[in-house]
Amino acid sequence: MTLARIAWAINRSHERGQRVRGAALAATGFVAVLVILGSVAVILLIGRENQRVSARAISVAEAGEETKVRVKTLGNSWRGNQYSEIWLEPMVEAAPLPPGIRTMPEPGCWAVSPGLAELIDRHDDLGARFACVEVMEADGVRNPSELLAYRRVPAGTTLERSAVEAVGFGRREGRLTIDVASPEEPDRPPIALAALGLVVVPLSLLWVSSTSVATTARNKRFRLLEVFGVGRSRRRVLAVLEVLLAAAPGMVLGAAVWAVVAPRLDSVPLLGRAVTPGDLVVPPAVGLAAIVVIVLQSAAIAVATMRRSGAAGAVPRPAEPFQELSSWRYVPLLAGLTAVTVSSYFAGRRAPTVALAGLVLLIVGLPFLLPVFVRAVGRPLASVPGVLPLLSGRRLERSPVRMSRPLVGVALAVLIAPVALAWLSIAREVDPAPAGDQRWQSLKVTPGLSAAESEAVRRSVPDATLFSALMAIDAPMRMPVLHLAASCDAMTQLLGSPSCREGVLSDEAARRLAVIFRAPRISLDGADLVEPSTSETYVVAGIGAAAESRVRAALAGLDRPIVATSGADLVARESPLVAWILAGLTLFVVLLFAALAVTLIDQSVSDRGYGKLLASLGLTREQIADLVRLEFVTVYVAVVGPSTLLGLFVGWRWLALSGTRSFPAKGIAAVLAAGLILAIVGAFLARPDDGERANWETTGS
Amino acid sequence: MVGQQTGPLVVMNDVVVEVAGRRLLDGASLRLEAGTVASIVGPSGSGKTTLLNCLSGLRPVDRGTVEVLGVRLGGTNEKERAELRRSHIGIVFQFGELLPELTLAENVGLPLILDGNRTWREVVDAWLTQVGLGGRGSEYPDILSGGEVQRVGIARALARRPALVLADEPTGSLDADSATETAALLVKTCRDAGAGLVMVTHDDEVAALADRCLSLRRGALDDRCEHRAS
Repeated sequence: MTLARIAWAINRSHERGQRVRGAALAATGFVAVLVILGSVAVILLIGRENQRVSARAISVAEAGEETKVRVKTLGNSWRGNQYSEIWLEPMVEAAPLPPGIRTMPEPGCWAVSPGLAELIDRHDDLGARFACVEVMEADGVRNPSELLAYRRVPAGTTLERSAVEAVGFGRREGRLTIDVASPEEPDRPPIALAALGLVVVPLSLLWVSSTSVATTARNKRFRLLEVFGVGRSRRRVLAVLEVLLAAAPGMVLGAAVWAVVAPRLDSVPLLGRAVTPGDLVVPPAVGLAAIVVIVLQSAAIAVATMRRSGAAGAVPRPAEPFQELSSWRYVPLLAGLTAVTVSSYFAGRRAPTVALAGLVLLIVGLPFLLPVFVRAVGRPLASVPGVLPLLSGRRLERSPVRMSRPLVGVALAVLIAPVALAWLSIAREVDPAPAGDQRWQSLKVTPGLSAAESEAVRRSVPDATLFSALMAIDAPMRMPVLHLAASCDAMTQLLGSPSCREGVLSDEAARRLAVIFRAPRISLDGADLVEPSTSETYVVAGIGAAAESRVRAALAGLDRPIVATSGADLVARESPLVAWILAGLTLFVVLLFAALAVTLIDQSVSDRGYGKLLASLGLTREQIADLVRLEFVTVYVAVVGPSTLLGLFVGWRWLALSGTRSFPAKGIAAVLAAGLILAIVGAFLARPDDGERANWETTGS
Repeated sequence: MVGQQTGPLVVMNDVVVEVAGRRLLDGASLRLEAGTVASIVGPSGSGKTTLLNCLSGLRPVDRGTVEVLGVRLGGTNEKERAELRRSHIGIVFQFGELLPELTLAENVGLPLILDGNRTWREVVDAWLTQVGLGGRGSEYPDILSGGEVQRVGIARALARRPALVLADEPTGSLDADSATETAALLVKTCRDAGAGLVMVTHDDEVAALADRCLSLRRGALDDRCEHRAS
């Protein structure tokens, strides 16, 4: 109780430094609770979404088991947006239904996800593909923006070829299941590791920055208690109480804000992806556990930083002691480097997971190693003739932890930047789409269309030309060649210029046809090629999304499950992972910036005395500013240089893991340029209070 | 800026300084001749440290004039005041205020290093010996006692042989024996060096070491020093 009263009294001190400390701790408590609840909510959200995906997995019938529903999954697209099409054929009276569908649609009718239903409502060309539509419930889709459509086969149609004979939906132990296609989402181990590196570490840094704000009121009490014989354990309790009392209002506010806001959120903050309202609500017990974790984290950091902020006594000592740097500081960083280096020896998805674990170790380890770099440059600097190098060099050598702390955030940012750019580069890298023809584009339809179906498409899209085709590997050169059931005349008509010379495709025509049909080589094999059931059909229509949409609508009217692929489907498209990476990085940068701000405010307050002392010894304001600039630039080079090299190394390894060769040089150059500008601005702005409070000239004595 | 010192060391006329609406100095006047050792006593918060800050050029005055070593501070710029402090004024602080990252020798020699004096080590060795810390120049301040820190502070203040030394409660952090010993060392060293000394103190014994004792009350200085031991 007495300790609590002392902690309360410390927090109520009117000293400027204590007010800064109180505000920093309260703000940190607010941010920490908000971030942890948000992170827990996202992890729970992914869990809930994965459960919904599991619940709709197709459960395959085993040998001898009665098939209750036949299922065929197809891919389709609209204006570059890919969506899954699942055709259902009930085989029994009460056939099982996928989640989100309460009753089996009428023959030929659709049950579509809310995201797809919204698009259908807004776009007539898409609506033309879907006759008699009902909207699924939220429990059948991963998230509200997912594009998914179920269709019951039309009357008189049956799913024979390549359909899955199923007994129902949902994953079951020991039974073969097939997932319904879903957008790429991060797995739990990588997201947990990323959360550790991009959230927990910068959050800890923010706590360290806030709890390290030293104040006279606090230091005096700790020193007095030590003098009075109060043991270390009780002083630790006081340190924890003092931090928690200051941070508690912020924590409570953070929890209240999340409790009010979360049920109303329809998208993930920073990510922008739609969620079902309520999906981000954290159950009270889980939320409480998360807040307890934050309390424990702050308590641990309060105890760990007690030495620094509590060491200065009621009576100032002549000097703070020489900061020893023990060899354990190297351990996390070396472990991280090892993990990144050996990650390529792991197979499959374990390789990037090991590399990510290595990156997290590097993020954790780098702040511990920065003082080593700072001391390493301080020593030679102090031997350079002149008072400024002497003072700067010795300060860096003697107090490397304190001197490097403000730039920990920048160091982590330049470490993570090349890795993040490499990550984005990999996530965005897709085979580039072939250049299109100026007039025509084709859709590959699999399986091939019958004559009647082709005629039906021609009626719907009069300007379309249809060709049966077969892709084969030609024996002598082992090259893939598309054999088209077409004549030279038909091609001449299509291209609007002579296509053959002496019955053989001209080079120019072959080049244009290769672009239209997205095939490396074309062979014209006359009108009768193969049976439609073993071939593909290429529908060639005018260029553009409207033309493609008309063809797809016509194909949808055939009432047969077919897959149509166009050039638009091959256009490089950003992976959904990119949004996750960017959201994580945004949070990372925000937390680092907050930690940096707290440290700079603290240093500005505590350096006041140093500037005044130097001024009293006769240093001019300009000399003091030069001194601070020299210190800033030296620390910056010592901290940012090795961190950048580390980042480049990890980024390079990351790219090597994925086999990507294009190093994001421009992005990294931009980051380095931004770092250089920051150094110049920082050096220019660095200016301590030199002790002269006002300009004598203006006072008129 | 400062020539051969023949006139008074310090001349303050009717100085007024306000801090947060409170008048700390209110018509304070003072004239000290070269080589004078003066002590200033007064209750806590009476403005003694503010007075020293005004004399060192670290704080402007709201009214009145301050002249140090013939230089009127109101007519100088920041660079000239810094030069005045570095070359002609030594300052001793209550807690020594040594730079922890420098050795004792470097702390003492700092004013000389600032001047580009290449023989500073020889000068510093002599000063350290004079304050009883000979041969310990390579040590760092964190292992010193409070009294030793003050000795180094005294050596630093006098290393450049200033005409004026300002001492702000130089024995305030020391026990009684160390306080008297350190104050005596400060006064003797200043006298030996021919420097004037203005020393703020609460200690009657320390105040008694001065040639002249002044009392700061209600913002003004007078020679009726009640604290002075008889």
